Amino acid sequence: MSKSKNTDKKIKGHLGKHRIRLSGVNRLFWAGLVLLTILMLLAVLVPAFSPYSHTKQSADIQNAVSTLSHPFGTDKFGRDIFVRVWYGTRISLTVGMGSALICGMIGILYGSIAGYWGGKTDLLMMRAADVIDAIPSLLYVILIMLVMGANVGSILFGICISGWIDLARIVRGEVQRLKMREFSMAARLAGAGAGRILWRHLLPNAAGPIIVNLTFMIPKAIFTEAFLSFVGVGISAPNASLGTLIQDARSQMQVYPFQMLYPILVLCILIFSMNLIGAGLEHYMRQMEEG
Amino acid sequence: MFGYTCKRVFIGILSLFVLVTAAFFLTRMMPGSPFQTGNVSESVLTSMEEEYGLNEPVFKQYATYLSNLMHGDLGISFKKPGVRVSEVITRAWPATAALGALAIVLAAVVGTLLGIWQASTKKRLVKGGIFFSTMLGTGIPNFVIALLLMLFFGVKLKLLPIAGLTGAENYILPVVSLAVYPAAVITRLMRNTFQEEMNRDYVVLAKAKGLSWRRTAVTHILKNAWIPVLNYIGPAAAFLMTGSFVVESVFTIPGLGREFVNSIENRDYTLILGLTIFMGVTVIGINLLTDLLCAWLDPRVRRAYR
Repeated sequence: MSKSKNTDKKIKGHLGKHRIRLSGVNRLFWAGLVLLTILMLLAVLVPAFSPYSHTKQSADIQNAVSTLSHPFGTDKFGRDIFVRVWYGTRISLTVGMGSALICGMIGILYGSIAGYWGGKTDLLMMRAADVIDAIPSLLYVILIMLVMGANVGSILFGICISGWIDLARIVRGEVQRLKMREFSMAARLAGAGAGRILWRHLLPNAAGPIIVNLTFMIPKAIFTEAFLSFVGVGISAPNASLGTLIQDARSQMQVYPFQMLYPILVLCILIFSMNLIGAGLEHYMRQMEEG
Repeated sequence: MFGYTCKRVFIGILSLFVLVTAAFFLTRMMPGSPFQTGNVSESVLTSMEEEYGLNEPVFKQYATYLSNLMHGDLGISFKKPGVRVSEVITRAWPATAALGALAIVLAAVVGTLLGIWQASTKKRLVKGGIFFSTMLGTGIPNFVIALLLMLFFGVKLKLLPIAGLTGAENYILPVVSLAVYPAAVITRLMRNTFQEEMNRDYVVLAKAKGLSWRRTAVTHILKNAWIPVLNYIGPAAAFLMTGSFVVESVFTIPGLGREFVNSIENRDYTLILGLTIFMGVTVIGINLLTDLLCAWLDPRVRRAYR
């Protein structure tokens, strides 16, 4: 992020008005990053150091209200909701980051091959992507969950069947645009292979749009996971994701609304923080383009 | 335009075929027999499997299913003997379609107005407020919105009914919870294109010849700014369909989404398969239609597509 600070200073130097706008954008990014870091720390530390486990039931403290030892209270089986919420956040984060990683790799590979080779290869590959993209993904994700069982692996698999397509289209467009530029011509004349040109010359120049797309992929995946758990094909008991927690608390919503509100709050902050980061990056990239 | 239409229709048909094939084999791969409910004897099980044609080789079953599908026959429910899947669909789709249509209209109206307001206002507070709301609107999952609306307006304030679909006031909460996300997306799209179009030469000309701002916005800018919004109707249809899963099961509305969630709970494989295919066909169809409409309105779209 040293780069952003540099530009900030430069603009501050001769364009007083722009300073406010740019730092406003950075504020979005930093707010999101701080929120996300806090959530990640809590998700890692709370289940690791809490005296309670996310599956241990206890008959004498069912539906307890918030106390110092149970900050979010307990659920109808006497399980500590605080630990369960942060354990669920772990699962959401795993799904989000994991799918962004896998879809990122597939999308970049697929897009760069289609964009770099062009012609018939490109046409065929992009038509195949169109076909997969036309089918609403949540439908077959549900079927896959029913076949492969309710666990993180099958959620990741389901999301990644079509999650890479948007990124592949972006990468293809960027590669197509960049491969005709002088620097890539020069690299080719110097005898560099296709792989090297793509990896060392084209993709670094396309990094901006790729990163923005990947940041928005994470909240989408988290949303999909929560949706699946809510519909009843997500993470299976006694493990719990945020979606499962919300679904479980629904039956007692009228009596104990807070059992539902805590996981909802954490889920929303999680998705919101990722969206903030994405929006901040997007604005930043746009301003870089405009100069 | 003709070539473009042919290509898009071909892609659409191919997607349908992939969807049907994948859905069929996935449902066949699902673990356990659909008839195993505990105390069913071996002989009854075999005779039931024979009746549903499950003892035949998978590819033959697939061929039979495909030919039945061509005649609009989606088979019989596994869990409710005698109930045809197509009956379930004809009974359930009007509620889902009504909610979806109302939601998309509401989202389009609210999104367009907010987008224009955000693009044309000079008040920073309004700009920031709308920006923040769209962030919230795209950031909160639809089932959370549905649950919160229900908790607040239904359970706490007791203003609106929380279940069923009997009167007009029953529509308010489900439609609003479905419309929030698309409205936020449309606001963002509208803001972006409107801002771009506002600085074009034709707007300056319209202003110069003395047209009122409202007239310029409606008759000149909106015409161009609406195309990205129109393009979004396709993805919005897919979103509304999955949204119906959530909203219908939260507000207990007898629609397609609730049938789907129930069929998942009952592991009613023919019903799952039939509903998947029906919803997939609908979404692919709407997508195709909006794509064609956009290409017809804007030649640049079809020229960019090889």
